[in-house]
Amino acid sequence: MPYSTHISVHPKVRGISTILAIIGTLFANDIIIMLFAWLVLLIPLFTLTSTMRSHGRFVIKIVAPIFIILLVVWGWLVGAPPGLQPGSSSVDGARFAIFISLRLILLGGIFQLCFLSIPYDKLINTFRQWGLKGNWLVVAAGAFTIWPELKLRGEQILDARYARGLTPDRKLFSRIQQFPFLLRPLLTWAIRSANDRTQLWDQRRLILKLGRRSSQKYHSSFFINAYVLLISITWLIINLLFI
Amino acid sequence: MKFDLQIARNKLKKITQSKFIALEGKNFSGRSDFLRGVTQIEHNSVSTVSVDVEKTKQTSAYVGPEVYNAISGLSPTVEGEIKLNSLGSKYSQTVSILLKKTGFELLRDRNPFTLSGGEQALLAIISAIASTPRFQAIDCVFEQISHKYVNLLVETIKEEACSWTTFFIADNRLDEYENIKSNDKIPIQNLIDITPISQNIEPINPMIDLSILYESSFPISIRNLEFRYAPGAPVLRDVSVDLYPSTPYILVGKNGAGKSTLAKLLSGILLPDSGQIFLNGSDYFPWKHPGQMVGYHFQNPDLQLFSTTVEEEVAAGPKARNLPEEEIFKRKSKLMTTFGLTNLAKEHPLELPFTIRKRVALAATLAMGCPWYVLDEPTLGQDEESSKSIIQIIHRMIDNGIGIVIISHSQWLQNELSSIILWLKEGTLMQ
Amino acid sequence: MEQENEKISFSSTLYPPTQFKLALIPLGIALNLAVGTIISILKIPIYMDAVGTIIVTLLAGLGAGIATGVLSFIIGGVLTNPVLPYFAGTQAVIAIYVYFLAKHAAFSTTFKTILSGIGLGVIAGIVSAPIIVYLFGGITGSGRSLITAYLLATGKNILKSVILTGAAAEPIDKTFQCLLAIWLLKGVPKSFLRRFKSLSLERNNLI
Repeated sequence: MPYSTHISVHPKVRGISTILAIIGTLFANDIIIMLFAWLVLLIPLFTLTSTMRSHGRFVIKIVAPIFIILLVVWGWLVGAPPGLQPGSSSVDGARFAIFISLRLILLGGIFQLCFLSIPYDKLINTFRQWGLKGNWLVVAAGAFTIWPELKLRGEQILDARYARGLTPDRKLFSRIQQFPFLLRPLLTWAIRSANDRTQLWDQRRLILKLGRRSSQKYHSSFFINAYVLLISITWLIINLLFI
Repeated sequence: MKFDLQIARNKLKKITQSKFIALEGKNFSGRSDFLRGVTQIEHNSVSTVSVDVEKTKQTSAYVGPEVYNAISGLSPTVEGEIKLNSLGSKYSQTVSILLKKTGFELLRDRNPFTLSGGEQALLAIISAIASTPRFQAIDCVFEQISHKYVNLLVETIKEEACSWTTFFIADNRLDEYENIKSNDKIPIQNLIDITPISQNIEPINPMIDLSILYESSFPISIRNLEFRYAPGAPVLRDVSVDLYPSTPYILVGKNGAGKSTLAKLLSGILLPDSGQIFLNGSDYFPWKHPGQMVGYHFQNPDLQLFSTTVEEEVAAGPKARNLPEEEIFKRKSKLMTTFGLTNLAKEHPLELPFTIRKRVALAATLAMGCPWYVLDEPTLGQDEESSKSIIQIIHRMIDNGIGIVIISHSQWLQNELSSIILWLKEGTLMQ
Repeated sequence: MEQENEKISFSSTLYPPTQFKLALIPLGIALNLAVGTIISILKIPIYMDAVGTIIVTLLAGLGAGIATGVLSFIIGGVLTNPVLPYFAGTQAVIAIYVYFLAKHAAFSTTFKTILSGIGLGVIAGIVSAPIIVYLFGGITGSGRSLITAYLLATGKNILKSVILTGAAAEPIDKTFQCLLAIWLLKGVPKSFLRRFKSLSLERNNLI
């Protein structure tokens, strides 16, 4: 995961700013302002936090195809935005497509900025500051670390099937056939792991330790916190005023 | 099988006050149950005295053969894992020294689950030590680590560096570790006096005729093989060797040296970045048909068990080859009898103890009838008697023209097989 | 003598620590993400992103199921598609539906599982519709968008078009997921499943 350690925003500021920014975006209805917010506010933040690559992938691989289809559907097929007579205004239909795409970029981008810019070593501390404690802190910690493990285990199981000669070749159909045989041992492993790991956590009091480790003081910059909070409040107010 | 844990512990106290105890015994003699009981996790015993863990504030640590389950899963890096366990630790200095001497300093930022089996085993033990447990059990884990590091761990533990902890070791290769002395060893039957469940487990029978599995084999030649997992230093560089059937080979090297990587290249799981493999003098591309000419038995058997019964598992390989039903039945029967699995035919493989799972996975791999095999720690978790039987089976296969490369840290196995040692060091192979 | 006749059993005493069910949640999340990712790599036109939610709900109950579903989509948002978290509500509804149906043995036979899957699909389609309308303008970029586009072109309003698309496509997807979840659970050793002491598993013939 492309976590950055460049900028440290206090978790509470991070959480509040994200919520305010999302609410602001949900009320946004001006394309120019939304474009401005994306290009002038969000993109520099992505660059500063070294998370531009992930955002770029999101825009190109997810939003761009949706935008093209939206353009075709609302700008040409229907020829009008929702609520208007079909065929009445292709230009407005196209504008609607742009508006939806920009909103997607902003909503997705704000979420990415919130999570992807959390320094890796501050992840659990952040969850703790957001109010997660005890068992739920463990769930959150486990949830973020488990994905690489499960991905790896899935690859290992697939390799193991190759090693035993159970997959005769690498054709797509053969690989699709492996899919259910991959999942069964994965699930059994998951259940057994859950059992063994909780015993381990109990034995070594790791849940307590996780709580203690994550309750260490969080050091962040006052000016950066103020800046982030100011942007999100300003964004919300602008959009509320423009309704 | 039930035994009274408290009575066993009282017996132990009378025998020794040592803080380093190595339990001797065969498979299913109760060692694991004793270790699990002492470290207060799920076990098969009757305890007359329950220990209130919260009140005593004592932690314990059990590291079993499934080492990946002895890693917490709460931290995305090796460093994070150690730090989490080390909070409030009495052994911070000891742990730092161990990390340095085992080379873990270089692996700090790695995800624990991307480490090799031996590296995970080391991490599991060191992070358990870091948690400063009152009791620590290491159950059939040393077998997965190179002897150099085992001796380092034992030396560190015994030199009063972890004086607050009592260590219990169970291992099938205790005699191979020079730092484990005879006065450290206690036979488990001195602590537990019940009828061992081993009487109900069929032994491995190496005398069964397995000629049905034998296919004529061919020499394999590897020339200038190179492989890297990610941009960076190659794991294997310029590896060249000629391998002949009917000759036992043992591939050795420290943990993380690339032994499993080489096995994966040979069996077709991975595609080399450069180099060639020849089978009987002709170009061979195992990548196209993985596991067909070179079968690979993994160190961790759980990865290679896919069926819901033992007999289905053993039959899976021949079925995948579309062999006739009669042939499948013969192979299955012979292998199950050989590995003592007949009584367990209808059991779910993943429900069985580690020792038996290892046998099932081995039987299932051999059922393919490949001309070459790479067997990664085939005797892992097996006591001396079972290990000798497995070696006998391997000998017979080699005598019948099958090509076999074994990956193992065991000195005993190297001696038993009188094999050619292939040493993997810094990515290159030396014979 | 008694011991000679004793079936070889390797199950040890049950140990249900409190955190056991919670430890399953991250694994259920990973299962959701893994299955969803594999499906998208293979370009199969279904989602299959709730298998983990269904399994965890059956094993560990409603709370764990909702947590699995919601967290899956939040983490999916971080790892793959940052718009996923806005659909987390649908996952919660899936967990609730599965929980209540499982109490009434709705997954005890293949036929009942298929019916339950169809019902789940319809409900999931309806619940997701407002989010798809508001967030995506009706078009999610998947193959279903073609159905929506056709309905829009025929003059239907956006919400109706998306609901009808969901009601047509989701049942197939959700039925597959229910069938897969049950099949996967049937492949797990029963002794592992018994640790959960789950009435849902008992009533649906899974232990």
